[in-house]
Amino acid sequence: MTPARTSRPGWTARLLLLALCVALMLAPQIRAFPVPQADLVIDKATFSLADGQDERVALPHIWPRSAGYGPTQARYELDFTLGDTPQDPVYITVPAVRHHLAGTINGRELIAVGVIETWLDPSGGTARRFRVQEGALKVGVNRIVLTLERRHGAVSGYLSTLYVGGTQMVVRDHWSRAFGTERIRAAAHAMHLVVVIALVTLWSGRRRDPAFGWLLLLSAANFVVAVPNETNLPPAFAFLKPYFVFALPAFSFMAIGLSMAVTGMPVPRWVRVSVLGMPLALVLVAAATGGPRPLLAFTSAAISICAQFTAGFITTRAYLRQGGWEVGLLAIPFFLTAWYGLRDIGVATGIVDGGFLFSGFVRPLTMLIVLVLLMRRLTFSLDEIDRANETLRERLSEREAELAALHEKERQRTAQLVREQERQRLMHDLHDGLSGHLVSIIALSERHEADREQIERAAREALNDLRLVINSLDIGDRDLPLALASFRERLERQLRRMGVQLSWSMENLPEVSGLTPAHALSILRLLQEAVTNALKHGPATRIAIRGEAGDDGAALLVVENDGRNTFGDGKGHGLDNMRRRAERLGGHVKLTPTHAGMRFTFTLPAALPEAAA
Amino acid sequence: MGEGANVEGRPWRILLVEDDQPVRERLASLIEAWESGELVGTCDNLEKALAAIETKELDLLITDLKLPDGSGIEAIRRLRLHRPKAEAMVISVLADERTVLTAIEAGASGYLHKDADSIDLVEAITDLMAGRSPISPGIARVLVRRLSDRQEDGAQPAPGPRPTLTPRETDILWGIAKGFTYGELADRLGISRQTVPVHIRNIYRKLEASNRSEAVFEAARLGLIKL
Repeated sequence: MTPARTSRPGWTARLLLLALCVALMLAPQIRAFPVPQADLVIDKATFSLADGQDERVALPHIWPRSAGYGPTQARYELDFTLGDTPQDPVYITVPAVRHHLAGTINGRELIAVGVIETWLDPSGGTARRFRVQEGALKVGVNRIVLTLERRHGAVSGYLSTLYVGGTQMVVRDHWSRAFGTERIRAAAHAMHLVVVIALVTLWSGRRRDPAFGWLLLLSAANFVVAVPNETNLPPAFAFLKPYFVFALPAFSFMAIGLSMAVTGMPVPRWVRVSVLGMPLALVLVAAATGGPRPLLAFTSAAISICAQFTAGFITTRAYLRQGGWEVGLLAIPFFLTAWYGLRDIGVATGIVDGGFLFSGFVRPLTMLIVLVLLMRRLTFSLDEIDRANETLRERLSEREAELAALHEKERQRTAQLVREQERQRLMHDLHDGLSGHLVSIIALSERHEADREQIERAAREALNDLRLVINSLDIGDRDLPLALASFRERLERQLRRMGVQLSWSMENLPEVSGLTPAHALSILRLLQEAVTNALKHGPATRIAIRGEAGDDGAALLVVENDGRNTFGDGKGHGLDNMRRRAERLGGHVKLTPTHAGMRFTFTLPAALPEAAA
Repeated sequence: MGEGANVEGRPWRILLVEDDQPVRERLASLIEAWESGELVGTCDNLEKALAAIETKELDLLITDLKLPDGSGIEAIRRLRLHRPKAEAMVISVLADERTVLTAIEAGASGYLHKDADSIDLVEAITDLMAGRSPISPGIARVLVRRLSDRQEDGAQPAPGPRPTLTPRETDILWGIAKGFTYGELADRLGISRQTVPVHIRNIYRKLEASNRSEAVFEAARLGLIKL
């Protein structure tokens, strides 16, 4: 559950955890119970065990070994003398007693206060309080007869000193209220249930984390066994009680599994097997040998104590090596269970003095620590998420900045490329047209007898070509009609000047796609040349230019004139040149004689090739 | 418009503004050779042109835009202000869209190529004075784009009033931008061929008006004048 940490715990943390653990271990020794503010203390009794002989004993009193194993009953007779009969209600407080206690005073039943024995099995030790019935006391010697009944198990009976007093004693006696009130025990069960539900939720959402699985197993199993064990089962199920002790090793091996999972160690197979195997073996042995025996109970307890110590050592070692105070914290319930277990064996057998068995009290503490562990894990995960988010955000913004820079670079490069291409094209176009014309103008002017008309014609051609180039700059895809219209505008003026009639119609021209400025320029230049040739070679008086639809969506530009022999024999250098240029556009040109003159047909594909013509 | 002038039997009084001497002389000689034109003056810079506009009675200003001391646009504006009945025409080598549209928005009604010969010149002037304006497909396309741009971002009204064209005018602009000839357009729209350039003139007048009100709007926005 907790990933390996590299930071080792500081000495303060270690000492704090150690101190906490030791304090909890020693708690039962340091503090027995507070002495109630009593009017009368009874510390002597006449004790007799199951119809045995009477014996004068001092309180607190532990049953002798002769009490043996299993259900048995003991009787205490306690006498005290009163000089006066009290007016106020009288109470008897028993700060510690093991097993079921009932009694009479002067033959009248003592009324138990604050305890309904449903949630509390008194065999582990409890505080009791009785109210003396009105009129039961008398002046002189009064006799209390107490019955202490053990219903199961080997835990010896225990009776502490008795305190007799009025309302004042009861009001101030918080001890008895705490240890005698079954509601507190019930609250512990409720808390346990809450933790189990929380773990079920966690585990069902995150099964790949073995620590959650072990935590859930331990908590749930413990709940299932501990609750009936610590409460008074209905008589029909009471026979189960002696077997509960055999479940202890299961919990202890679960503790080992949990400690290994939490510290990131692989849980060996034998641990898993022992969880079920060990209790099963003990129960089988008990069944085979005719029921639970103290020796078997002791063996079971001993095995689980050893296993708990082991779990404690595993977590402590991991804590000391890898850090993580919550791992160190988890060691505490392991050690406490083991330690209290040892002590309880002592108490139960009368070796150690004490009224309460403390193993049962570790359970709420364990649940608390589990809660802390879970919350700690939650905050750790949230921190991890925050950190991951932060890292992601940082990386994202870095990446975005990188991309933006890259994009900007690319954009600049593209823009530069486009500019460069456009510059190249313009240079190329101007070189092809304008500069050629200008050079020929110079050449013409330098002749001795400069032909003004020729010069003018060359200059006008130069200007025309410049207009073609500039006009084609703004031509986009499917703009062929526009390019042609601009061309027509110029051509009209040019032809009118020469007295040539122009008839123009592009209404039937199909759409041509993939048009670039370069394409447009090539097309217009071809048309211009066709017109120029018509004017130059066949002195035309009428020129008709029209758009037509060809096969496969091809666009035909037809130039007809009434002049003759427009291109000589049709195999001239000029026409070859035009053919090549048409082919580069994916089209072709054709020159055919008509009855009135020549027809020049320029065929363009429906989609122009991508490469600039 | 100025058509009445010639009805009186008086030639059009023309002021020519062109800084390039050969071109100026060439165009001047073309005008002088034309019986319906009377050259009242030639100027080679803006200053002289502005002075001439104020002092001379004019029917038509023919001006180059690039003058050594300023832009011919100024001369056109001055003419429209002082002699609203007179017409203006720009001379341009390439008659490219930007040049022509700037002049039209300033108040010019037509344009003339610098290499125009006598026929071109006479036709251009005659048409212009008869209330007809020329338009090239390129100019039509620029106008169509401008108008449709405006329609597209209709949610965000452009500053100042904009020309509102009649459907007929819009059809004509679209048609020319698509490459139709006046004749083809006239056939399609069921109007006479001679009406098309009259519509163009109306479009130009609207452009000028909207340009002027836009200038006023812009000036008001900048706090230069108070409305």
